[in-house]
Amino acid sequence: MSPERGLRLLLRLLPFDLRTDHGREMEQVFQEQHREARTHGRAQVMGVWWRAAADVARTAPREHAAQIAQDAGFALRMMGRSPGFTLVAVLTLALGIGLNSAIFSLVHAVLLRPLPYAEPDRLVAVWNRWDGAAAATLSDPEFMDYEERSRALRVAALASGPVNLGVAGDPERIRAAYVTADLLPVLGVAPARGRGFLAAEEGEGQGRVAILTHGLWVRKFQADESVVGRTIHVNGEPAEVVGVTPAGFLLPLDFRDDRPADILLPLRPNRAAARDRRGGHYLQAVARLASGVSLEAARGEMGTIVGELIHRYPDQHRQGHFGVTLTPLRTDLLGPARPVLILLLSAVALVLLLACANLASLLLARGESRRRELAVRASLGADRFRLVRQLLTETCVLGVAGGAAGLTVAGVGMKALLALDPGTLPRAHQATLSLPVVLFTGAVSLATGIVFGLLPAAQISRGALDDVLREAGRSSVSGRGRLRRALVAVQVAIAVVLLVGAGLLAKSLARLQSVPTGFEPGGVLTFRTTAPPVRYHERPEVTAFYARVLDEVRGVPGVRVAGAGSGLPLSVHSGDWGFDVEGRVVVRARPAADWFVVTPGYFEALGVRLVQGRLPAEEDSELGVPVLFFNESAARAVFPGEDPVGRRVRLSRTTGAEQPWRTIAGVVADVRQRGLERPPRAEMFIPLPQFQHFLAGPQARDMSVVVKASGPPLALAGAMRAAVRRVDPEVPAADMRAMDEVVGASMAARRRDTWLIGAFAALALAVAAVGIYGVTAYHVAQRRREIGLRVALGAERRDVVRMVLGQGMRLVGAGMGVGLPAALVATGALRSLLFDVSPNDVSVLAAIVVLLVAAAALACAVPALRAARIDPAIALRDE
Amino acid sequence: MRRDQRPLTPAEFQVLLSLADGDKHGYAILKAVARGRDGIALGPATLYTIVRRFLTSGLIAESAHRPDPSLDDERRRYYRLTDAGRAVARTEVQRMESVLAAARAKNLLRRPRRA
Repeated sequence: MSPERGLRLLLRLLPFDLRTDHGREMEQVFQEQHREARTHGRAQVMGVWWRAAADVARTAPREHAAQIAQDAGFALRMMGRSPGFTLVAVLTLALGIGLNSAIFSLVHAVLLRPLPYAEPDRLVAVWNRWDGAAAATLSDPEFMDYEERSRALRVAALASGPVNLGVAGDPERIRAAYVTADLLPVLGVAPARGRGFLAAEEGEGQGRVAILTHGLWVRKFQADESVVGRTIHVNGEPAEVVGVTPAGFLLPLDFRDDRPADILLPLRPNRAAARDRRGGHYLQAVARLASGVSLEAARGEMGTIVGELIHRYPDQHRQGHFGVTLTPLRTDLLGPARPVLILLLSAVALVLLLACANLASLLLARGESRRRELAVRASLGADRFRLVRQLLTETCVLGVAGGAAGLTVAGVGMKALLALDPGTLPRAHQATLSLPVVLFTGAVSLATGIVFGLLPAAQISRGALDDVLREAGRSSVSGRGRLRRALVAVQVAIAVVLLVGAGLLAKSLARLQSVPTGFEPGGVLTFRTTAPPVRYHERPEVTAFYARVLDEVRGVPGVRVAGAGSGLPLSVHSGDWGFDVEGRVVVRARPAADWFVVTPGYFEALGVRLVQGRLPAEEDSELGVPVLFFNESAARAVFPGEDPVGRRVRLSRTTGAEQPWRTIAGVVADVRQRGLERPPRAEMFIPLPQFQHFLAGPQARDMSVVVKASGPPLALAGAMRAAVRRVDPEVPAADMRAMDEVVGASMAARRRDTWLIGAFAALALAVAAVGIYGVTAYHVAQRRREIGLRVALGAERRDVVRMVLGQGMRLVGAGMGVGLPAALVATGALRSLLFDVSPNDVSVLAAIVVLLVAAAALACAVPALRAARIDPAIALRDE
Repeated sequence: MRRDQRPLTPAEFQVLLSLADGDKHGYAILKAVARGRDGIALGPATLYTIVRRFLTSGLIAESAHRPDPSLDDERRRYYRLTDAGRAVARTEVQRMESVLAAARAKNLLRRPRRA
C-alpha cells in the first residue's frame, strides 16, 4: 500500500469537516515527514507511521464528540424554539418506542435469556412419538429403558401433581414436582442450600425427603436458614427438608404449566416391576448430551434403541409408528411462546414505523418555515451534507428524548402486559427493564431518529439549496407534497396490515366462542381435592372419602346436583389407555381412549347430554357389574355403525391382576376436554368404586368436584370448604372457581392478543385518518385559487367535492395497493395463531377495505365541504 | 467556558509561537514545534484540528504570500499570525511569566543567572 493510500484510510476516521477543509494538507505534511524519514532508515519510517496513527487515534474521538455536542446543542436550541412540535414529537416517540421496549422486555425475559441451567445448549427434551401425538409422555419402563440403554444421553425424568402441605387444621394444596435423583445433576444445577436427592431415595417411601423451591421457602418458611433438616408434612406424612433450590431456578415443566412447582419430591419409578407393563404414560424426560456427542448422533442411537424395543415389545410398540423425539430443550420449552411474541413485536414495530411516517410528514410541513434559516446557512458555505447532518442530529435528539420518556411508558406497559398475561408465557414474570432492554431502547431511539429524519432532511436541504441557487421554489414544493402523500399512503398501508391481523384474530375469537363445548358452565362451581394415600390407601378408603365429601356437599342448601371426576373440561385431562373389544381379535393395533374416573352426578352437574343408555349411578358399586361409559367419539371410533351399549371391553393390564370385562352402559356427548381449539378425542369414564389402581398415579385420588348451584355458584365457596373440612380437616379444597371462569381462562391468552392487536390497529387507523385529513386539507388550501376558478367557470359544487374525495381515495387506494399484499404475506406467519379462519379470509379483507374507505371519506369530508364553500370571487381576489 | 476563552494547551501555544517569527505552512509549523524545548511532537491531525480552530476564532489567517513556485507545493497553505493571535500569545506569555515569578518567590526555581 502506498503511503498516500494508507494515510487516506487513516484520515477517514476524522470528522468529515476537518477532512474536507484540511485533508489534502494533512496528506502533504505526512508525505514530507515520510520522505524525510526514509533518508534515515526503516525505523524512522515506522516511527512516522506510528506517530501519525496515534495522533489520529487521539484526535478522532475528541473531535467527533465535540462535533456531536455542537450539533446537539444547536438541536436543543431549535427544539426549545418550537415547544409544541417538540412535545408532540417526544410524546409520539415515547409511545412508539415505549411499546417496543415493553414487548422487547418480554421477548428478552422469555425467549432471549439462556435457560437457567449449566450449558443449556447440551440439553434435550425426550418425548415418545406416536401417530397424532408428536410429544407424548413416557411410562416408567420406557424411561428406564432409555436411561439404561443410551450412552449418548444422561436421561432424567419428572412429573407433576398436587400434594397437601402442612398439618391438621391448616392444610395447603401445593404443586409438587416428582423428579429422579439425576434431574438436578443433568440440568447442572446445585441446590442453593442443602443437597439434592440421592439415588437411594428414589426407592424409599414417598414423602421421606423434599427439596423446597426458592419461592415456597420464602413464602411459607420466611427464608429461614435453618429449614434444612426440618420435618414438614406432605400429604399427611412427615418428610425431611434436605435442600432449597436457587432463586430464579425453574424446572422444565414450569415452562409448560401456568404455575411453577412449589416443592420437589423423589420420583420413584418402579425399577423392580416387569418391563412389559408399558402403559401409564405420565413422565416428562430431559437429557444431557454426553461430552463430544452431537444431537444427530444421539438421535441415531435412540433410533437403534427404538428398533430394539419394537422388536422386544411388539404388542406395545409395533403400532402408531412409535418413535422417540429428541428436541433441543430450548426449542421445546420456548418454541410455543415464539409466535405470539413475534406477533406482538411485529405489531409494535409497525406502530413505531407509523409514528415515524407521521413525524416525517410533520417535519416536512414544518420544513417550510425552516427553509429560510437553512438557506442562510447554505449561503454561508454549509454544504448539503452538513445541513442533512444537522437535521438528522435534531431528529436523533428527538428520538433519544422520546426513548428516555419511552422507558417510563415501557415500565407501565410491561406491568400491564404481565397483568393481562394468563400465565401462558413462561418466565414472563421475570421481565424487568434490564440493561439489554435499555440498550435496545437506545438503539431503537437512534434508529427511529434516522428513519423519520432522513427523508425530510434530504428534501428540506435540497429545497434550501434551491433557494440559494435562486431556482423557482415551486418544483420542490410539489416534490414535498408528493412525499407527504407517499408518507400518508405508507401510514394507510401499515394500518391495513394491522387491521387485517386484528380482524383475523377477532374472527378466530368469535369462532372459538361459538364452539359447542358439550357442557353448560352456567351456575357450576368446581374445586379440586385429593385423598392423601397415607390415610386413604386403597379403593375402599378413597371411594368412601369421596362418597362422604359428596354427601356433605349435596347437603348444602342451594346445591342442586354434585359429582366428582378425575377430569375437568378445558382444564384437566389425561392420557389414553388401550383395551380389547369382546369378540374381536387385535389385528394391528388395540383401540385406545383417554380415560377418566367419575362418580354419579358428575355429568348431570356439568350438563353433559346423555346420548344413549344411562349415566353413572349408585348401582355401579364395587360389587356391581363392572361398567364403562363412552363419549360419542369413542363410540364412533370403536363401534362405527354399531350399537355400543351392552358391548364389553377389557382395559389392557398395566400392573397387578388382569382387568375385568366391562359393559358399556351409556354414551355421553363429546366435551371439549383439552381446550376449545382441540377437537374431542375418544374418551371413556370408569365409575370410581370400580377403579383399582389408586397407587399407580394421582389421577383417581385427585378429583374435581363439580356442583350445580341454584344461585350464583361462588356464593357456595365457603360452604364447600367447610363441607370438605367436616370430612377431613387435613384435606384442602383448592382451585375454587366458577365453571364460567374456567371457560374464560381457556380463551384468556387469545382474548389478550386480539385486544392488543386490535388496539394497535385502531391507533393506526386513527393516525392514518388524521394523516389523510392533513394532506387533503393542505391540498385544498394550496388549490384554493384553482378551485375558485373552476367554480367561476361553471363547475358544480358536487364536482369539487368529488375531486377532493377522489384525492383522498387515491391515497387510500395506494396505501391498500401496498398494504393488502403486505398483509397477505404477514398473515401467513399468523396462521398458527388463527382458529378456523384462513389467513386470507375474504370477509375480513372486505370488511377492512370498507372500514378504511369509510374512515378516509370521513377524513376528507371536512376539507371537501370547505372546498365546496370556496367563493370564487374571494378566492380569485386573494391572489 | 467558551472554547476561545480557556487557557491555551501547550500544543496550541506552540503553534502560535511558531508563527510569531513569520508565515509558515503546516510542515514548517510541525518542524518548528519539534525544535522547541517542550518536546511536543505534533501529528498532522492534531495540528490541523488546532489550525482549523484558530482560523475560526481568527487567531491566525491564511497568508496570501507564497514563495517561488519552484520551491513550493501547490497543496501547501501558508498561515500568518493575526493581531488577535499575537495578543493571545502575548497574554499567554505574560501568564507564564507571572507563574514563573510566583514559583521563584516560593524558591521552586533558581533566579536566572545574570549574564
